[in-house]
Amino acid sequence: MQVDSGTILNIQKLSVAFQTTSGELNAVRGVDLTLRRGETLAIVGESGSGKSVTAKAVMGLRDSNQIIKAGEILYDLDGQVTDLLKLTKKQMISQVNGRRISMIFQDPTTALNPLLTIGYQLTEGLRIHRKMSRKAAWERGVELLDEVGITQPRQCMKRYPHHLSGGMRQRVVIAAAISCDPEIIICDEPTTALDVTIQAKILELIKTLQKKMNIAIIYITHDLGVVAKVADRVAVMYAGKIVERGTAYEIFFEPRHPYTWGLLLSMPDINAADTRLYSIPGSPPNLLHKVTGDAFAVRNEYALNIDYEEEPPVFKLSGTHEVASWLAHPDAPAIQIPELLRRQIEAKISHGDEQ
Amino acid sequence: MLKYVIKRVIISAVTLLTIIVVLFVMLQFMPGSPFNNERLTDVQRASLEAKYGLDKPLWRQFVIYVKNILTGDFGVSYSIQANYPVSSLIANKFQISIQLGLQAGIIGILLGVALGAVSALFHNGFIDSLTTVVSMIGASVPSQVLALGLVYVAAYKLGLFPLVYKPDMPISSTALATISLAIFPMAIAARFTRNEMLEVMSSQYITFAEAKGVPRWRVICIHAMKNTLVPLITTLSPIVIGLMTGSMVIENIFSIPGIGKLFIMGITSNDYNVVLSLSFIFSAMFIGIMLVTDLLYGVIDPRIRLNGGAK
Repeated sequence: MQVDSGTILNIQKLSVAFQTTSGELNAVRGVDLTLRRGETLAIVGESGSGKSVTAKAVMGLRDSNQIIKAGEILYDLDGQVTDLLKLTKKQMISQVNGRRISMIFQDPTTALNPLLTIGYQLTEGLRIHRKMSRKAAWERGVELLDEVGITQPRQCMKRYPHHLSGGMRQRVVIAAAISCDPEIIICDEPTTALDVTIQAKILELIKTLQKKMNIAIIYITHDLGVVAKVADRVAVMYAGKIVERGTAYEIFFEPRHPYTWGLLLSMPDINAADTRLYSIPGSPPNLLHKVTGDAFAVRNEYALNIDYEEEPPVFKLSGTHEVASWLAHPDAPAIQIPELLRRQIEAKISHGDEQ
Repeated sequence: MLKYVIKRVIISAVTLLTIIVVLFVMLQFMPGSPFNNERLTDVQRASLEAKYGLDKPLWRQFVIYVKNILTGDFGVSYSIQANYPVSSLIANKFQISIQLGLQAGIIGILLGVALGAVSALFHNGFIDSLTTVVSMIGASVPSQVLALGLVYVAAYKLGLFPLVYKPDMPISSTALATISLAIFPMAIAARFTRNEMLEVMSSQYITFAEAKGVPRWRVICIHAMKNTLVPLITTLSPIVIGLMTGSMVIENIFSIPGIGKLFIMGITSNDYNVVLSLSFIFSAMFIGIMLVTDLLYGVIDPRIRLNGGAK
């Protein structure tokens, strides 16, 4: 069970599959994750790596063809450690969603109901979970809008989503997410659909609110730029598994998994001499089929023979840093981090571009 | 909003005026005149034409025609009830038709929405398959076929309902007619609600509502229903047209003395004024329902209400 008191969410060996017409698709294949109070954990990976499915499982937002194959999600519910996967959807909605764990969505233009006012959608949680009167909830809503940086919050309450810009809508979604003082917020690509200029402001806002309210945040993203700005700890997901995890420093400056190298190399670097942007060759495996060995082996130029036969175990590199790659095995040939990436990291360190 | 309403009202008025022009022109193309009796002398004919204003220039006739129509004067009936004002003739029959139409429309739409919503919420379940089949049958089987079947089984064989309309039992003697007419709106509403609801339930704002911890009944009733019902308003027009055309046949089958039956009688007995007036009234009703539909759409959907104010 939960070991130290700081842990508020503990995902153990979560496996999720989807029943499709062409068979069972194993989207998440044994994920372990812990989240500590007030920290920011980023889950990074390509589309289809299972990061969103993992996060949605925490909220009990399951598609009808989704099957939880194994695992548990332990969460402290009123002093009692509960497996969220064992709760019914109804229990999740009345006890967990919005109240203790809330979510910020990728596209604020579709996350708000076009036919309901901002005020209604914002105060709904307060009225349901906090049993506030319409009027009290409304006043609190105005405060919340003010808190997320919306000017003229009173007028905004009466408006409909289509009156607002994308950035403002995302602020409303954030306000709704924090309305009931949740302990955890899951941010599913919260800035992907926004203008670059707005992105930084939204990230800053989430960060400020997080500090103020001591909220733990799970960021789901493929944008390493976002991760670098916000994350305390990072988990890199590939083909439904976590292949490397560590502190943000460890992932950005001491990456060990070839996939993490690839991800870091495919980040645009303003100082790069090479004008061509790196991309990882190949494409992720089809999870409808059983994966033998390391799922990343076929795309990995450093793959060892064993990678095609046996799945790599998790090697502990430090108290916080873990990697699932045979390259970390003591008997493995000493393969160095790619030259280009090493130079980039050194450049960053010398620029003082640390967290 | 006001600008939008004014615009729509003006468009409707222009459409109605166009219809009047077309009706009037068609009237001119009719062979002969109302005074075709060969025994009439030229003088008598001229005095009759003077009496009915037919000696005036065409444009004067048109102005009078429009003025009369707008004041509710549709002329007199020639053969159904000679020299009886058409407006009174229609007024007498209107109530029963409206009653029948409302009964069928309301029952059909309510049932359809309920069926559609349930089948969407239990997607691919038994009720869903049942609804799909029922609405397919309802939309494709003509109401008169159903009506004849109902008359044969429920009225003739089982004797549960009267065979024809009886003024002293207005509900039970219109029950079968109502059912036959209600099937079409029910089928349309069910199919439309189901598809719309499925789409709405899979949209992001429903997930957002669930993530906020909104109970399921509230998600369905507040978040999903409104979004489902707004587009449903667009089916109101075809439903009303279906009811109007359906009533012509159904009223004849059940001998219900409504305007549908009157229309058919007017056509078969060459009672031009009756046919023209009813054509005009049907057009006006149709334009009216389209106007109401559009305005309702605006009331419910804020994006349309503001007429492109902010997109």
